Amino acid sequence: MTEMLVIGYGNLLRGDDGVGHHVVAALESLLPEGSAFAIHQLTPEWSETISHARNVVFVDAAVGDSPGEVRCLRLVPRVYQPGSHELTAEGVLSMSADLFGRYPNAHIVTITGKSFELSDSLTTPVAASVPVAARIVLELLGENKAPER
Amino acid sequence: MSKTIIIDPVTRIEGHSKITIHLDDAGRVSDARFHVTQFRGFEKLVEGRPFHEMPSLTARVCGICPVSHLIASAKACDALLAVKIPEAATNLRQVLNLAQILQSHALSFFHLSSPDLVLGMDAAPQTRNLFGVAADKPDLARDGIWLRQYGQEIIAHLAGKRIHPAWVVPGGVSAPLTADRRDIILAKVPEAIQRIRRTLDWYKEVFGHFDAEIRTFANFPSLFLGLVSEQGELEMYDGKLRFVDATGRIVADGIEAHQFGDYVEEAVEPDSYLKSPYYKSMGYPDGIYRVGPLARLNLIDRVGTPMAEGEWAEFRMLERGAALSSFQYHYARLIEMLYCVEKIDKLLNWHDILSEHVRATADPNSLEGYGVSEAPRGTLMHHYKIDRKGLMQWANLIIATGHNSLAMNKGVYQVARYFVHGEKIDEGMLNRVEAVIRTFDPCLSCSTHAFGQMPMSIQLLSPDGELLDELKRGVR
Repeated sequence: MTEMLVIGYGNLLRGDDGVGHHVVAALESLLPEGSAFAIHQLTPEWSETISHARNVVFVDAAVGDSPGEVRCLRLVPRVYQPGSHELTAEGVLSMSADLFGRYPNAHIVTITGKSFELSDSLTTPVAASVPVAARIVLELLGENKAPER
Repeated sequence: MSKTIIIDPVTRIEGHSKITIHLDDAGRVSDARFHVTQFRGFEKLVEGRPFHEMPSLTARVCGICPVSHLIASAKACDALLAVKIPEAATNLRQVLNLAQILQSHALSFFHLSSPDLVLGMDAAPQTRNLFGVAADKPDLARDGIWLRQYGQEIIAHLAGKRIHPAWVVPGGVSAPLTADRRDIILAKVPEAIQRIRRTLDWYKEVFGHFDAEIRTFANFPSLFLGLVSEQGELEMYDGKLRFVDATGRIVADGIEAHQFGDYVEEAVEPDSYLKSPYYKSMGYPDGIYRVGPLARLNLIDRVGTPMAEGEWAEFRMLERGAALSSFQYHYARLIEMLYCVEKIDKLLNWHDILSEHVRATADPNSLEGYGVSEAPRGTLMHHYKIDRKGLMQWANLIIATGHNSLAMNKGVYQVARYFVHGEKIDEGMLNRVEAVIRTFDPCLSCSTHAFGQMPMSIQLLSPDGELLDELKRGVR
């Protein structure tokens, strides 16, 4: 069984929406090979992958009033009405439980974005939060390694 | 009083569109239109770029089938180079294309359409999705996830990543296949076949429950277009184009990509960004034709792989001539999945598949090139013109979904006439109008999509804009 997984997701061409990719990039060298993934979006196939893990952290951008704010939530499986362009982390957990008989301990780390317009770079407050988010992910995974700033 | 119903957006398809249904004074459907409401403009964006960038640039047209654009584009670039690419490269490209069709068909059948088939067209929208399938028929949901994953893994093993790989290049592919990767792919072939066959058996048991939908889901005579091999077999990569009519009779055959313009013209509809090609000699709109899995299985002489051949023989028993109901795109999709896995198995067992010689190099030797291949949704064409420096001067992409434009419109009208009655809108009615579009598996935008339902509203309006009835789902 895979001990841990980090899944950062978002659109790299939509400014801060791609922050999950940046957090994964900051963590990649600190985690076992094959345990960190940066993807465009969550799809049903991830329900099978995470069913093999003990501990999963999702990393996503969030909409809010405080750009750069990092938040962490514990996740539980939740069925919802999915959209054509989205599958939530809770939905993936739910599918994992229903189809593969188990789901991992799971958290989501979100970073509030400032701009989601067409851009391939992060805004300043969000970029500054990447190492903060990465450290929280490591703590959640029980890895006591500090990502480089 | 005449009325208009608008379904906007259409859900569980790839892209954004809306449907308008017009009712006459008696509340009967007088017209129905399928509108594609987005504009891409890739043909203009690429002008001035070096031609060798085209595979990677045009792959960005779509997040579901980037591989299809890679293949058609690379073939157009091969034609610009005027080289014969190594046989190993041709076979590796074929494997990639087949894996793409496998994963895309899995997405269409299991993730997007199976909720209608498992839970019924009238099921509550809150449960009529993949979660509902997972709860009601978990084996089917697991098979869908496994098969899509397998197709994506093959793409990643060959091309380095699942989405937007850049491994297919003008002249061949950028790197050979390794033995360990080939063996990983081959090891899963038996399980893939088992899962597809199980799904086919289930589909054949249940499709009879959808008699009204089979009769009305774009069930009309039309032409069918697709590639066939020299032997008349199912062909996804090479071969020549063939048109058959509703009886299965060959109308035109052996058409090369550069001759396509002699057979087809494109009409522009005032209310859609999707162009509407038609068979030229029959005129507009009588020259309506369909592409994709249903068309491909209607126009071949044989499949060419043993298990899919057996399933195709059963499929051919549906009707005397061509299968005309677009509902059976679902059936055809499953048979093609079986074909894809069998063919991948055959190609990866070819004696020289691990050859190091996988790319031919040359400067451009021609100023115009065509590339044609079969994408999951049908025939895909890229046509390029360059200058002597190799810079793109002009491009025309004929996307598979575009070929089906007239048929989708006619299908929406047929379904609306049968199921929509103007007094009151209900979910089942709404879903059937959408579901006929879903059978074609249109890829409209095409950016990366998953599954499910987008927010949607359907409105019943009086001629002066008064809201008579409204149904919403997922609108926040």
